[in-house]
Amino acid sequence: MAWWLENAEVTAKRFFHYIPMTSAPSVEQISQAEIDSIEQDFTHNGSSSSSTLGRLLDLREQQKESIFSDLHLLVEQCNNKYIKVPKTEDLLPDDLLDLAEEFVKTYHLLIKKRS
Amino acid sequence: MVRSEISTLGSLSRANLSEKNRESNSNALRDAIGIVSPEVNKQSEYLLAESVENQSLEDLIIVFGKALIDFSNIVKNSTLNSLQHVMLADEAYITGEQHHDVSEFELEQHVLDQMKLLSDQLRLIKISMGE
Repeated sequence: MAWWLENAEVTAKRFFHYIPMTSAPSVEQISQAEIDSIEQDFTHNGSSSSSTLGRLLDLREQQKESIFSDLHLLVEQCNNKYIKVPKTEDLLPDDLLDLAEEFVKTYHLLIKKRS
Repeated sequence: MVRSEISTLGSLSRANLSEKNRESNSNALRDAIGIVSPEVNKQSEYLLAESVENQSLEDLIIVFGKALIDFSNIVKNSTLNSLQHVMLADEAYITGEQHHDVSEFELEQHVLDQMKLLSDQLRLIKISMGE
């Protein structure tokens, strides 16, 4: 999922790839060194360009996608003719699902602020 | 043994299963539990140790990024943990055996503590953005 998508398109269900996942999250090679470098640059030099801010959000999103790609692989290995993994909403407590909604709301605000 | 409300077994009822099918279900569950179990105990180190107040957009994005990774790991680990509980309960139901590991899924205290920290952090980010 990309940060430039419209707010209405980004739901907690989609952002955090709730089960059943419609497709496997796409995974790109993530450079932790690049994340560290941008964060250090922000910390030491203060203001940054909009594109650098977007790049950091992109990298963190790619990290998130990688985490859910791992989850997707495990769930796919469990699913078979005898077993159907329940929906995320049935597996997780409401407090966790509510916090997921808060993350998406905050994400929308940050995207709005940086544009 | 009463069947749990949440199950991986669809609409199957133990009473309607042949011995062979019961064994196939049980084997499938055991295999799946074997896939999930090693992952349940893998705990990533949290990136955010305390909630912090920030003013600049740069700082807000750094903190949000770390919080996002912590939360994603919590969602992944909690999903697997809960799934493991459901499958252990299903296995106990299918085999008719009591299972010492079957218990209600609950978030661990360190997860609850981190969720509280993340929630506070999101609130601070929103306040910094004038929300």
